[in-house]
Amino acid sequence: MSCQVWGAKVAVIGCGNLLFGDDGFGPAVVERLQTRYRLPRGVVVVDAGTGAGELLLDTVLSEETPKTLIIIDAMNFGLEAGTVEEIPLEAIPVQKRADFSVHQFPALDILKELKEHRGVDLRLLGCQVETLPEEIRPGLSASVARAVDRTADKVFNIICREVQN
Amino acid sequence: MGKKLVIEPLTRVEGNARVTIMLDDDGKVRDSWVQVIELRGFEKFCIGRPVEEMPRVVTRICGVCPWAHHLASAKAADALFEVEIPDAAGKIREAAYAAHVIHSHLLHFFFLAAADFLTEPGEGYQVRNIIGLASKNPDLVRKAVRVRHMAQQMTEIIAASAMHPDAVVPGGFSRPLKEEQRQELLPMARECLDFALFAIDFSKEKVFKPKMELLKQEIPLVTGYLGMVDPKGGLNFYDGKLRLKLPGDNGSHQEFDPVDYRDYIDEQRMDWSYAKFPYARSAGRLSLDPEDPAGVYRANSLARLNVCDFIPTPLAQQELLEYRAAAGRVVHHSFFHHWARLIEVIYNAERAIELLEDTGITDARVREKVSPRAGRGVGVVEAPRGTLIHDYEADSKGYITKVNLIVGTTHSSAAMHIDVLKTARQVLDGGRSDEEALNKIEMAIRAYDPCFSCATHKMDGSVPVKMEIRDARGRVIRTLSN
Repeated sequence: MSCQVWGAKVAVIGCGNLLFGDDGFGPAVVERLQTRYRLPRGVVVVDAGTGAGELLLDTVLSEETPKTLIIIDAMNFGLEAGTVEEIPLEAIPVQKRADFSVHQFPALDILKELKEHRGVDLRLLGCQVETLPEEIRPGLSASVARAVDRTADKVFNIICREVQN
Repeated sequence: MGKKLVIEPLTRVEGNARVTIMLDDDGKVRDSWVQVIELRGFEKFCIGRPVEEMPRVVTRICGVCPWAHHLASAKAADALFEVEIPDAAGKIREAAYAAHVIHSHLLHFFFLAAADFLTEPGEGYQVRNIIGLASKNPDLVRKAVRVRHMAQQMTEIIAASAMHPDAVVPGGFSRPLKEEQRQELLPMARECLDFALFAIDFSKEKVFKPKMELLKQEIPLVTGYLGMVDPKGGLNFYDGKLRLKLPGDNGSHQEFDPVDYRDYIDEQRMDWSYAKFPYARSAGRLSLDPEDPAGVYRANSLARLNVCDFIPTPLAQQELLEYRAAAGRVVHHSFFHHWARLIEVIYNAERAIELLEDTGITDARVREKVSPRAGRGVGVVEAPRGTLIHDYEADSKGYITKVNLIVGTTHSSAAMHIDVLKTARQVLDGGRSDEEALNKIEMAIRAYDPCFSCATHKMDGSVPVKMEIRDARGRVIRTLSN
């Protein structure tokens, strides 16, 4: 899977643990993209689960990198549940690293390396969670589930624009 | 009532690592609590699910060791259904797993740990990470990336998905290995072996041997060790008996079938942690007192090489003899995990070649039919970070009624707790709480490479740690983070 991401024109990575409620947002969007859309050639869509950090570490060290990398993740910004925002990497303060994301989000260092030194066009889409279960409980909340379709649409539009460029 | 000092690096789902250090009124460390891996609710989540669903579900537990959970779960289901899997299925499973272990071990050695000892000690954290290492040793890192990637490709060829595998099923494997796949995999396994041999020669010369004198002066924690061995006492990751080298006993060990693990390993709950602490039952008790430890044992690469009599593949065995000549027959210092890990990479590459050279691996019969039955099944594999135990009970319709999991890192929880407490007493007594103290506590945790950290490592290989110092009334008086 890593090599497909490395050489892709556009790589989409959904992060999250679908055993923990709204944390499964990223994989849910990936599943929607894989099953409901006809993806152009050169586009790779990956459900990285909780292994996104390792996948991106491989990517940053590879000889090739994707031209555009879209990361979809569940996040907690204190916004209305289900709100999906595109977040500039620079907007994430270092001290917020620990509580910014709700699971094994790739280390900011890796993302910065990809963007600043490897020239990857990095797009980060975060969805505000409604609740996070204390114990294993799969399934998205209603508000986050409603955001899946429109996020898949949004990502597909980005994919189409990037592939044409 | 003394001060309470909390090191709380991460949110619950991110990593579950939390160190709480209790100070007395004089500022001396009274006790410490180390909490890791709180996979809460897993048992409740599993109850009522069909047994055959478990190998697919468990790959979502951990993004780093999905194969270990996938296999241990399928083996537990095999045992529960009382099914003997076809030979070819066992060979395919083990070959895929050998490739996964190579992939995982190379991640740890080259991407997380190597920067610590292959860059200059005086260089800052900006350089002492994998990117810094790559700029100084581009060929080495390029080779490591290529071979790691090749190992992952091997699991993808065998099982279609490396990240969320679903090819291992109760009763065997979901599809046979084709002859053309076998021929495609063999040179890949050989390239993994070539790199492993290069890596160990490089590391012996640059790292292990130069450090020997220094390491001999340090006093390590002496514990028991747990690992899997084949019927002759040789190292094995996929199948065999468990061997528990008794803590404190020179050379003696207990050997048992995995299904009997409860007779040899007990688990104790602490009122401050959701995780259970396993300990050697023969000790009669678990004591985390650094002055009087009892029942404490460790698992992982160091433990596996301590408990096995030999390694059944020739090149890895040769390396084992050299390692033991340099470090001893039973090795306690955590640093030797690195050397042991590279020997295990050689073993897994050789084992993959052995399995793939056997044309029997392409036999079309890879799956036996299974039927629901009431019973219990225990499945064990050696995960990269230690012995992984899946223990299931089911009713007559094949639905889960009880689950117990002991994951690799957990076996070492007691030892890690003692090391952190000893470190805290060395660096925090007197109320000192600066960044150096924080780093030393982090290093004590990192030496165990607990699985929460592999998911949240920064590029410099460190564990993200936030330390809050609270006074007797719980007020935060200082916060530090690395």
